[in-house]
Amino acid sequence: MANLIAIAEQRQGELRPTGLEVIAALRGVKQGDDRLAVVIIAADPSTHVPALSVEGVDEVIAVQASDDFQPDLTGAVITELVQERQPRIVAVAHGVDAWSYMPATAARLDSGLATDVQKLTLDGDDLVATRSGYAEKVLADIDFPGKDTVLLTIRTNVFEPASGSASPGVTQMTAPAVDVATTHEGWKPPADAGGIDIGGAEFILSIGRGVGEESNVEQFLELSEKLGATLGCSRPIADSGWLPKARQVGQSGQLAANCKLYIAMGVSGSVQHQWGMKHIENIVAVNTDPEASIFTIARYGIVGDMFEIAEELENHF
Amino acid sequence: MAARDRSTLWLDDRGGLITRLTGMGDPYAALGACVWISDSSELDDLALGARRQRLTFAAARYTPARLLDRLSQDADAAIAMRLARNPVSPAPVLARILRGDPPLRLRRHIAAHKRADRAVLTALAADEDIAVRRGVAGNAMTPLPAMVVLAAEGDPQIMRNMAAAPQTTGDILTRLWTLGDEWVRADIAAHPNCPAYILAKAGQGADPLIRRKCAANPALPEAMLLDLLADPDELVRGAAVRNPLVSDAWLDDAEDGSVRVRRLFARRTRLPGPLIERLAGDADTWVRRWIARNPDLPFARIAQLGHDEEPAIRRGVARNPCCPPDLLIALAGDADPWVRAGVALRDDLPDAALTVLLDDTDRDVLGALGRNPRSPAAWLAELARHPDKDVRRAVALNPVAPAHVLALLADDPYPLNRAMLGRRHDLTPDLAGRMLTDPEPQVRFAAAARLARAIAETEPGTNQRRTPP
Repeated sequence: MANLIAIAEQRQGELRPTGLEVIAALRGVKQGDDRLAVVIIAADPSTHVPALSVEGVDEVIAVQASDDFQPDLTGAVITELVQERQPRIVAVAHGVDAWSYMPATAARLDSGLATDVQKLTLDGDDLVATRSGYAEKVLADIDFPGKDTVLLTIRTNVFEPASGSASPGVTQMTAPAVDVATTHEGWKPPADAGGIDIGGAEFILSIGRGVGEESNVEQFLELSEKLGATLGCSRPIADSGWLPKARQVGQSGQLAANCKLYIAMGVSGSVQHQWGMKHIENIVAVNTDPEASIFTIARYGIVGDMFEIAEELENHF
Repeated sequence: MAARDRSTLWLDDRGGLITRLTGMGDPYAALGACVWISDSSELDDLALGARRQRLTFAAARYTPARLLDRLSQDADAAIAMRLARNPVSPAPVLARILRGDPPLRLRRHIAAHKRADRAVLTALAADEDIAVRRGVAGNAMTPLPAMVVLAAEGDPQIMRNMAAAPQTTGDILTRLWTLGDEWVRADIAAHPNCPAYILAKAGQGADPLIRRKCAANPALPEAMLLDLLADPDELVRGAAVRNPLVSDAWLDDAEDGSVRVRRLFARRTRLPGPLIERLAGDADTWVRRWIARNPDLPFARIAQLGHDEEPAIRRGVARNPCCPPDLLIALAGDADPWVRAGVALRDDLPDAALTVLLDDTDRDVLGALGRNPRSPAAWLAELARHPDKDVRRAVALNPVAPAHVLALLADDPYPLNRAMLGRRHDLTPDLAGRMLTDPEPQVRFAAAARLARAIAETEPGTNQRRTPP
């Protein structure tokens, strides 16, 4: 009987890649006798089984239901599985869907709960979940004394998606009958961002107030094109109308979710901006002010004029 | 101004405001008032009462100098560190910290501090720690005698820092030229105090890095600059094109096969007519993007680029200060929202263009209209209630938004929008008084500063002495 359960998600019949990240997170705390099961709720769950048959997965639990997301149903599936199988962990990707049922389900089951988890470790046999707090300023280790089952939501783009192949058994599970409190009205496409994809960009060159005036912005658009980067910006630049809102990184802008390299030029690094990029492994900061907050999170820091550095960069491409 | 209700008379009264703020017991509001009321020990004590607040305000750029000075009398080492790292800490504060025989980390910060005075930097130039001396070498405030002593050390990092420091003299640069590596020599070639004979060597040398730096020198003789404009290396030519000493007259016949150099030509705001014409027809998109913003672009070329197939070029035209009204009206209906947003930002927006844009639904366009002084008050009131917080914030940033529209934003659910509102100099005392109880500390700070400022400005002979925060 599986004692680690990952919930995979689909949207309009397309499997979301975050399910593989949740599997990877659970695989990291899988011990000798543990079995890892993946739950998929869909109109035709069998179509998703091959993509979920990755290394470390022992079982796929297929629940046939509408492709439309239904929080009450997902919560009921988890409740039933916990009552039947008493797993150690049930985990799903952190996001608006999970928010709508995980805390309520945890309360109903009197289980442990940690959200937006970035790291999972074992202290002996005890699970420790690490998450950030106070607007990403601290990391907190959370343990779950006295809890047999723990529900987790896992931050996306932190765990390398699980890969490899496996031949898990497939278990059909009948969707529990639930009184639904919500209805799916339809899909609304996101606002047109004019082809700008801060969330999906792997390399972002970002500019802040240090750029000085609108006429200087074009230079950084040209530089980002030369570098193969997506140009991002801090809030004051978007507020001034110098770059579209779609390029704004931060709490009132976009999360640079897939970014691997972030060059911040003339960005002071307010807490709100850091919200959108602090998690990035490689941050290069350029600022004339050696005390700018951005240097506290940068891997590489250059105390210098952003225009001089930009000119040097331009000369190399 | 209408007669004030008795219950809010304290808003206009110095003593009443101080009593109200001390009664609230809020250090952030107290600090905001301290910026404009400099002689209230009650407010000063409230702002700096708790250690947590002293730590916060020692690092804050908005803390008034007299409170930073008071904080520097505190024996707390953590506060001293924050003061040494605070870029607005005045020279006497740094001098006092140094007199307290601070540890190495603190001395390093003071050595690099832009407000450290000559006496402090002279003392630190003799510090036993090399990192402190390196910091002094790169500090633009370091006096010449200390620079001479430091130059004699021969330390590579000290030489690099001095070669880039603005006050380094020709004599010192000459010495560094013989001692330093190619990076030091490159910085010397770009230095405005670089002696002429070194410049001549640098400009004719074999190293393109040094020629490039030489081409950027803001004190380069005309003949040398002309030579470097014709340098075989495109990076050197590019650096020369960027040099503000380049005269328009030299560029009349300028042609360059390098796209990199033509883009740099197009970036210049001052260009001769024939060159503008050639660049406006350039095959390279970036050259046209740059030139589309040039205010000297002839109307015929503006009109041509205003119909370019590349939206970024049309956006450039929309931002060109000399774009004619009829073209602005046409661009207000452009298919690309970023082009329309460029029109919506203009404070010379023609009425017909405004009419078109008021029907727009794109958030960048709405944000630009929210900031635009030409937008009608009724429309601003609608934008102040818009579901998008960025659009609502744009109204808070509109310099002529009327008071009744701004009042709509005082209860905005997004704290940053209220903070932006609180920073407005035209915030009415009634609204500022309302915002004193805001849950967000920065809003309370701004509201108290606004009220204190209004009172300070009515006190005869005082407003000239004050500088805004």
